[in-house]
Amino acid sequence: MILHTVSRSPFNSFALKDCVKQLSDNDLLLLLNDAVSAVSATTDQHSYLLQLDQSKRLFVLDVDLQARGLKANMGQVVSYAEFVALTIRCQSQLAW
Amino acid sequence: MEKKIGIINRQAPHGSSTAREALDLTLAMSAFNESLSIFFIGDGVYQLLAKHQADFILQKDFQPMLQMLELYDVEQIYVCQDSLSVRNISVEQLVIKTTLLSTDEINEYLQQQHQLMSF
Repeated sequence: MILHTVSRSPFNSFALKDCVKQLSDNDLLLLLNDAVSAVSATTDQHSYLLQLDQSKRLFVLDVDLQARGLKANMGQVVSYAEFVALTIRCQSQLAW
Repeated sequence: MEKKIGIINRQAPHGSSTAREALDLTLAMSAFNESLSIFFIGDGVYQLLAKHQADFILQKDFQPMLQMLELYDVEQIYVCQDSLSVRNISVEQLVIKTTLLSTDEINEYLQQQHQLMSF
């Protein structure tokens, strides 16, 4: 099980697009930094992210949302402490 | 005749310092040039979304500085309507008064500038 973290905006980088291609069935996805906009906007990966959210594998970092004045329309909003818990749950982390 | 200068903001705030640097430059240039046009396109529109709490990620909240644009007589502020709608942002959520333009209209305005600076 891998924790994938994406930190670049889905609108000006291919990070999210590339990441979802590599996501295995039980991998987790955490959006942080500029990538948090993916849960408030409508990206090309929208339907995939919804599916991921339904299987409770999509997470968004709380402080990065609030810093940008954004609201999450999907995904579980997590704190730094919960971010740490996710890294413990997963065997490794892959940063995109 | 004074040069018409366009400043183009294309990047989301806080992930990098680009947005702040562009705003610093804009405010500084406004002292010398009265034909400044500011464009917010692509992820740049996120800079204008209200209620930033940048201190949560140890960044400086530069939004109060956006209010200074009016004070410095920078009034030609253009926002790409298409960029807003794809990001589910409505014009009421923006922190300053702007003029909404379509992608084509933005292109037209860019053509009118003598010099462009992209951030």
